[in-house]
Amino acid sequence: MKRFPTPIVKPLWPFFIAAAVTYYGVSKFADAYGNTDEYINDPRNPRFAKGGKIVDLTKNKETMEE
Amino acid sequence: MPQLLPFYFLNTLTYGFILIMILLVLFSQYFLPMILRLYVSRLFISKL
Amino acid sequence: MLNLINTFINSPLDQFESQTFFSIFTPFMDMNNFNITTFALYTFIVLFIIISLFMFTNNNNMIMGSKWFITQEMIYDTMVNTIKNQMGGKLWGFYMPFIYTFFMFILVSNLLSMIPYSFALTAQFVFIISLSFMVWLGMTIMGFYKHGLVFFALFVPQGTPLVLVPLLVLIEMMSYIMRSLSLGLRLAANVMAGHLLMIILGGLLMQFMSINILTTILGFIPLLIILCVVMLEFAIAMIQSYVWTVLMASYMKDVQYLH
Repeated sequence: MKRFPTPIVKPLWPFFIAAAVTYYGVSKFADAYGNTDEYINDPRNPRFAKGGKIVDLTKNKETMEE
Repeated sequence: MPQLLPFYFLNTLTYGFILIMILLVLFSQYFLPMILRLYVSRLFISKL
Repeated sequence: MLNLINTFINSPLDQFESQTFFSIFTPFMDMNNFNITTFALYTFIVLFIIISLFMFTNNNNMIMGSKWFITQEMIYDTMVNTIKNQMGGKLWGFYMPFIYTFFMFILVSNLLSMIPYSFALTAQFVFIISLSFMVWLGMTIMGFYKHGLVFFALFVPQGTPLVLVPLLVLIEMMSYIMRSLSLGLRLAANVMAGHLLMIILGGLLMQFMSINILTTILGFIPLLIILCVVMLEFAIAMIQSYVWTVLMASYMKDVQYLH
């Protein structure tokens, strides 16, 4: 198949910057959202693959109350 | 909603952006110029 | 034999759940984002379909393609006319491949998700909304790069009385910022609502028709209505990709020419 030298980066560079910014923002958001009380003990959480331990949420609350 | 499970956010974004990037290169350098060249060659045969 | 009576669906939302097929694990780097999930599998399928639609149909670059190639020429003509009419001027050619990419991606993945038991790529809210946010942010950067501070003239419609300008700028700016969300939310919510509607109606009818022989025969009347709903979903799958294209082209026009 013949290749034609259509410019891609020249007219569309703002979108690549925007894609990088979006990727970074979503990664931060996913990290923060995955560490909330709702999902921190979810068995699908990837930190268990690295040998993470289950966080006891009730204990934390009791210590906070004290 | 299962879409809002945070462990798959970056996975979808990674593969989605890679797909869009590959498609962009394919379309702008291979497929769309192919159709345009086809139209131009038809024009040369019939009208000019 | 397939036991259809005992095959039941736990929740209508199960169809949007992605699963990990195999994960890549290295001790020194987080490769979690490159796991092969359902989403990744369907991106491969979309890529394969689009490549084969162009490569296996062009009849070895003859002057006439095969019959399947006529669909591609038709889509090309439609896109060129739409983008040219929406954007106007001379700059539409630079951005046409970009908009075309989105059109084909959304069209193919929407139609692929209409196959029963398959997975809807465009119902993944986070991916679609970040895609639309990416488009919006790129256009904003482009507008500021091209026009500088004159870009803010976009927020003042022509012929506004001077008294109304502060209020109108506020409203226009709100609507401009909301574009980033609404473009993606429209697509994802439409696709998700359609798939939920089909699976709920189908499940109800499945239960109704499996009571006895009489209800099986009677059930063919609501089945016609469900058939209409499925046809509507096919229409929505195509219309939504077109809507995305038209809106993206008109936003691009706003940024390039300011009104």
